Amino acid sequence: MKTKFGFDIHDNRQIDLDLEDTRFADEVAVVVKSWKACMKCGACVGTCPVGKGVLNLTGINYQPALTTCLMCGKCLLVCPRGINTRHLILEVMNKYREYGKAV
Amino acid sequence: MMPREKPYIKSNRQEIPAFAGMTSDAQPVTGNRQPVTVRVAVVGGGPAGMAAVGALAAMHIGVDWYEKEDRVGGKLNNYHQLFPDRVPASEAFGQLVKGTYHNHIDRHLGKAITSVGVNAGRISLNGKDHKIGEADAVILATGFDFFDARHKEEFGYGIYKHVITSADLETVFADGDKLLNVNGSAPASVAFVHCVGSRDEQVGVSYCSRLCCITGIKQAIQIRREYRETRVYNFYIDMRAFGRGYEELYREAQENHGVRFIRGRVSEASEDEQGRIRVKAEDTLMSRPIKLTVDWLVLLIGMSPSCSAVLSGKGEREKSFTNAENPLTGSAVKGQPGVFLAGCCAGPMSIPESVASGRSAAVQAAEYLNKKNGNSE
Amino acid sequence: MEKLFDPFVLLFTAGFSVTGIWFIYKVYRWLAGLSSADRSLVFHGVFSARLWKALIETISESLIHRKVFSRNPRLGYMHMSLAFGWFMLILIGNIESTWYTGDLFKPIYVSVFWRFFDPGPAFPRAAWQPGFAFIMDLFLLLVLSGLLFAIVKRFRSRLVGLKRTTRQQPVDRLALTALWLIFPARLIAESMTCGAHGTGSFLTGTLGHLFSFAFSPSPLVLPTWWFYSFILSSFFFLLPFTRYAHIPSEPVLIFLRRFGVRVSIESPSFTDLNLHACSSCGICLDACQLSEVMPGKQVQSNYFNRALRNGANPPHQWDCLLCGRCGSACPVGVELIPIRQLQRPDTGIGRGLQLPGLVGKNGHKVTILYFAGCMTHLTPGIISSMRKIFDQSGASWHFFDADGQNCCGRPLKLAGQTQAASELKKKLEQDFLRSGAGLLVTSCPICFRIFNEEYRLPGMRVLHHSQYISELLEWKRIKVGPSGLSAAYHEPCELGRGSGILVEPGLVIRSLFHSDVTPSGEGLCCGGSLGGVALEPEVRKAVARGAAEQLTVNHPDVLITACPLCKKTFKPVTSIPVQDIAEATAHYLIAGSSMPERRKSTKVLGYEINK
Ligand SMILES: Cc1cc2nc3c(=O)[nH]c(=O)nc-3n(C[C@H](O)[C@H](O)[C@H](O)COP(=O)(O)OP(=O)(O)OC[C@H]3O[C@@H](n4cnc5c(N)ncnc54)[C@H](O)[C@@H]3O)c2cc1C
Ligand code: SF4
Ligand code: SF4
Ligand code: SF4
Ligand code: SF4
Ligand code: SF4
Repeated sequence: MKTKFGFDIHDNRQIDLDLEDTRFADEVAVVVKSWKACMKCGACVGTCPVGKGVLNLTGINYQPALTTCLMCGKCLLVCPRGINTRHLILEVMNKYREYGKAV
Repeated sequence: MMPREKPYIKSNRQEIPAFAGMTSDAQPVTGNRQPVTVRVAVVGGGPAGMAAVGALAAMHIGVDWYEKEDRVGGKLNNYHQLFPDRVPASEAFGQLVKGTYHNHIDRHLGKAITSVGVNAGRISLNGKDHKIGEADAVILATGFDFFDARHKEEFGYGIYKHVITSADLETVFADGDKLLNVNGSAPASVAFVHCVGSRDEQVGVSYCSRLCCITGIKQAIQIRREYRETRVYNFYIDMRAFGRGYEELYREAQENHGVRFIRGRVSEASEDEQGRIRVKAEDTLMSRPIKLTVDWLVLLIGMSPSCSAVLSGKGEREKSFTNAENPLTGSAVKGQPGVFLAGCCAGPMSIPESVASGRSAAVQAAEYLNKKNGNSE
Repeated sequence: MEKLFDPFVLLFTAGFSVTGIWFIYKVYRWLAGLSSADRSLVFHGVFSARLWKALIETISESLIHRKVFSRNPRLGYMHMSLAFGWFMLILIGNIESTWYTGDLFKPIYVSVFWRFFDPGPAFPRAAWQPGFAFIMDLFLLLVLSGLLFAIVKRFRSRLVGLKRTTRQQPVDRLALTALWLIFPARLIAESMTCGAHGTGSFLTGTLGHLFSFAFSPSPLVLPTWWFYSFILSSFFFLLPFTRYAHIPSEPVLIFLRRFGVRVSIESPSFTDLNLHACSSCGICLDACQLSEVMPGKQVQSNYFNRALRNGANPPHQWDCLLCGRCGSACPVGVELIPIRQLQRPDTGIGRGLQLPGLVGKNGHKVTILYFAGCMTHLTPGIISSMRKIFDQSGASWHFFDADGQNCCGRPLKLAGQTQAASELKKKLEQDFLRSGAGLLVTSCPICFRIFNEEYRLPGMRVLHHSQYISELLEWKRIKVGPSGLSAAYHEPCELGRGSGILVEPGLVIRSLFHSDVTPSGEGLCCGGSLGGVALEPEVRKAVARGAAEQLTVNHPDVLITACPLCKKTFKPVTSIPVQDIAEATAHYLIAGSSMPERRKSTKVLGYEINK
């Protein structure tokens, strides 16, 4: 399965970084620079009322995580790296829409 | 840090004689008082300060030693056992304090230095509103302050009775007190939160305090040793066990003591009806949110810089540690000739590192004085 | 009677027709673009007393600029003298020309250029002439004095009490130049004529007299009128494409607003009308705290309006905090915040949510529901204080979102996700109603606002905790002791300006502290607002720092707020302790206080200052 993040996930769950295409991530990072600073600590997920959080964005493609976001901003207040999480979520969603047809 | 009310802690406090500190005359004073021409002031009586005064005296340099508390020892006074070897803190204190009973050392207890002023080779040491003393060189060993955990309100320190800091827990152990759950029996579970007040833009601290991971490991083991039935969890972002024997202690905690290490930052804590603490986090390795209810939540608080206020003289604390002029090769303070940093006021350090840093500062001060006197003659 | 025509009037007539036709077309579009519900509002409005109220408002706002006056007298004078003075020149010119010609339906240019056609006692009833000339000169002087202010404002905005002034587009600059020239050109043309005929009053007469000393004005009369006509014509040609479109648009806005029309997705033309009514006066620039921390970035509403008006994508629209300060400062009453919200596209986030927290809340019958709000879970001090207050008051209450898995929907709305917000709203409404509670108390102004404005909860009162506390105090259900301290109050945007809750927080604070706190609805934004989606944390901090500095100029012992988000935002940027109003109340509750003393050496709630 080819993800929108440019990874390739095999049936055995292995991620094939050799096939990585960072275009999507790079484009989002132009708008929300702090995205790349995520240290995958999981605080955003822990605090998220719907148990989703931004971390799910920074790894591999996991779109369902986004669509249920409440935009509440709690993740913004706990992120130790000061990442602008709400902007990131919106931007990723916008990019999805853009890529929706293209990718 | 103010003493906390500990409603569910069974107090067992006793006076520990070894901790009576400098006020006791138990130790014989060593060294002959020789006429000395130069005097160095050391500010701070923690491990770094103790090491520095000892080294200076051994080099026949006169020392004025200032400590704001009424006894020396610094943070060591409130610790129980030290990592990685679980040496009692009192023992380490005993070793260090021995070198400070020397004829060349004048102790000034209860004297807080709030600013230093460099003026034509002489350095004045000032208190709140008056001058306290003068010296040819100064070693600042004011150590660190514990991060005030109330700034991370989401963890509920100062709001929930069952949330304490690692410093509180250290005192509990040192005083021989007991941690009890709400029913008065041994706690069923305890969780440690790593990186409280470190690596956190939300409180404006970007650095890693280096020692809280290993403190968490040490204290987790301590709890498992005292209460065999208690489940212990450590919530970490990255496990940083860098020093001699640290990684081994980490493994020991897992293997021999069954401490559960979970990779994920705790994001918030709440109190249930019984007063137990519910924490929320994510197991980032499993990609699943976690909730957990514990009897005690221990916050592994970071270290905040203490000497920026003294150096700026304005009483303003900065959120980063003071950098030495050439941090790779020495600890002289930029723009203030004759002022050197020792111990945790230059950055987070363990006790052996603080001691080494104190001795190193003593040597640098001696070199500085030699050079200065050589030049002026 | 002479023929009342000269070729130069054609220039003016052409320009004026452009504006006229544009305006008629626009009014048609504005009306045609309304939803049918809004159109019927307009229809009913025309035949009601609202018509008169609208007329009065038009005079007081479009001509006198009363609101600008009350905000900034110097700026008000500038606007008033230009608008009112010009209007009077037209009106009196018209009266004068009608008086002499006896013709009500003459072409417009006749009254505009009346002094040209009637330089002196040529017409009958000449005895009135000096009187008219005097009045006309008086208003011309008024306009010219306003013009002086306008020129000063452009180059030295501080002198008219503005820190910043709108940065102009080229076409606006052109129109502005034309506008500035209109009145000097008129003065010169009229003075030439009066000089040539030895007429005129104190302004045109005197100047004309001086002219005739220096040279013979007669040959210059016609050229100066040509020039005046040219300038007028340029201005009217440009008007529809510049900010001066607000001159005819503003009255239309006033009428429709009085009839009850509001910005909505169903009536897009009303948004367009709002945008056209914005005069780019720049009052919103100074109201916006982002002007201070993001200088040069054109976030503010005048730029936003202009971009939208020109069909462009508004720059930095995601930076705006939606704090509402510009909206409440705007003298025209442009509905800035609703317009901005509608501009944020719905990307479909949050739709079809199945919140776990919504399950199992039913059948819990209580009198009071407490909804802390998701943000409040990060400030547990507020929750524990509310617990204490509820318990002390003896109420039967239920902590609705104890597990922190609920959301009111407003954050989604602020981020433009309107659909998902209303889905959430429907679910929560049902759950609230099923509890049978008569009162819903929330600790979060964001939740409060949407509960209050949009939730349909028949039989259930919605209160913010500051209101609830104020009621408990009034009914003597709880008692507080005076703290003996001084306090400053930060009004949360959503509570004060947004929801108009001003009296109750003031009452509570005054009963606790000896500071005379009277919330005004003009509070600053803490910078933490969920509206500013794109704002980077450093910018938020800078806003917070600025606001904290202003709030604590008098060095209060404590800074009180009434919102978890404000509290969280302020705490890292000020050395003065920050407390929620609930925390302060809980701390000074008298009788049966179950809270343990927390720390010694403390003044307030155990928060020492920056230990
Ligand atoms: C929870 C915790 C547990 C730890 N456990 C261990 C461990 O087991 N093993 C280990 O190796 N390390 C441990 N450490 C690290 C250890 O605490 C430090 O390495 C050590 O305390 C540093 O010594 P210091 O002299 O630099 O500072 P401090 O110990 O902080 O001493 C500074 C002294 O200066 C005095 N002072 C401060 N300001 C002034 C002033 N203006 N005027 C006069 N006097 C002043 C203070 O009163 C104090 O006595 C631990 C740290 C923490 C946070
Ligand atoms: S903003 Fe979205 S992702 Fe972040 S905590 Fe709220 S619901 Fe979760
Ligand atoms: S809290 Fe911030 S740093 Fe941690 S995983 Fe989430 S986005 Fe990344
Ligand atoms: S030592 Fe560990 S707990 Fe402490 S700041 Fe560094 S990573 Fe965090
Ligand atoms: S939005 Fe209002 S305050 Fe701002 S420029 Fe337009 S009219 Fe003036
Ligand atoms: S809503 Fe606030 S932040 Fe946005 S433009 Fe208006 S004043 Fe500025």
